[in-house]
Amino acid sequence: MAQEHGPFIVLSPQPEFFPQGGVLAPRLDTLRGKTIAFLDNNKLQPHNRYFDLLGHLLQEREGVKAVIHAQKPFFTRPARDEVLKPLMTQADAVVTGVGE
Amino acid sequence: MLIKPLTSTTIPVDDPIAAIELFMESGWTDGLPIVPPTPELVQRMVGDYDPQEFIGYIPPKYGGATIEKLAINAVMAGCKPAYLPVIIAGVKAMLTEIFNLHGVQSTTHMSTPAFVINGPIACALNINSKAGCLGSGFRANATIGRALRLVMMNLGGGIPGETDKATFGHPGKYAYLWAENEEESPWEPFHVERGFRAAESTITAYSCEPPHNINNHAERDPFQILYGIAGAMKGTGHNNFYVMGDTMVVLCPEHAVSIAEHNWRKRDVKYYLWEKARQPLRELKYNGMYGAEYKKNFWPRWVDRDNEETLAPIVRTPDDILVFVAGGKGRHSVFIPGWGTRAVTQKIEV
Repeated sequence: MAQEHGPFIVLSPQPEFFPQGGVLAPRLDTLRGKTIAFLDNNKLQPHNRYFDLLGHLLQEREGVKAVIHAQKPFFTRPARDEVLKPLMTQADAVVTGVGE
Repeated sequence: MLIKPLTSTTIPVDDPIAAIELFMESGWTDGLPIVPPTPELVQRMVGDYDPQEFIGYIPPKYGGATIEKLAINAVMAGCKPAYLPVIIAGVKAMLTEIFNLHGVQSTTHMSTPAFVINGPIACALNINSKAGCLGSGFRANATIGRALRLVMMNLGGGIPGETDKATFGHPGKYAYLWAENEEESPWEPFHVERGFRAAESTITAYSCEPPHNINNHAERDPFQILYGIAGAMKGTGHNNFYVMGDTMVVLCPEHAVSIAEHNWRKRDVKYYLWEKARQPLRELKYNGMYGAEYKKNFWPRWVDRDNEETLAPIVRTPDDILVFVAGGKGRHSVFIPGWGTRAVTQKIEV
């Protein structure tokens, strides 16, 4: 334990290490000519066209070459290799998130 | 034996009150004051364990959980050192893939892991299984449950409004842990049903809503008692009808004994509830995530999606209805809807 002197010492409950590789991918210099993938949790209603509209905007305004829309099998199930591996080989960047 | 050193970052403060305030301001608590985790208290909590033993990464932040980090959060929650094996097993249960803690921690749904203890450790640690076991007033229930929540927040990053996207959350997020009332149950304990020996102790983690009370003082007959419970389970809006997974019923001892006096086994209870807790598709299509696209729901293949009068079951099979016995005197049982994943039972190593 590192010795820091104070009148009253407590220990941090926060994590001190994370998985190797668990870091953000290198940022793209530009979106122009790139392939961007969205990975959604398959919870949004089918008539919700959020990702379609966002993809169109990226292509029109930013010169994105192609957009891939991938889905988890279901929102309570993790995305497996058959979903993730194509994105790793085909996309320059993948956008995902938590909640919705 | 040689005591292995603690390695966590040390934080100097003026006094215990300053520590409590610092943890509050830093977002390192559940909103209640904590016991300041001094090196002495943490070392006492760690005991004979290797503090650097690695348990896993807690999603969605994926902070590394060692025995030392679990012990720090256990001290903060007010745990006794004897509680630590239960916390370790609870964390291991949550980290299995089928539990999907990443999803549980980040969903907009209110669910949180509930924990049920089986085996002799429940009595040894005074984990309440009887009157008021789902409520407040019992140190082991409150502090072990709280420690597991603090682990989810501090190591997993489950911070409400940030990565914890729950629209509401629910009070069980402070602590949600009880033991099965094996002493007054007419049937085999839950962990024996799952293949463990009665002399072993286990913790079952189950992501779920709060309990819904089912009041039935009138009936002694299994059909009537369970018909009322199935009626509560048939309420629409909870996840099970759409996502399936596991669901849970906790019978009070008086209901369970009345049912068993008619020679019903636990399996009979599950089959009856599975047969009765059903809704026609026309009632379900206005709820859940898909609206008019309700055929996307995770019903079994034998549910005829082209016939709106078809009855969909609450879960795929009778075995997906987890039946426990707990609580004190009185004729109230509870239904606890699930988030849509599987409950995981983990042996507690002592």
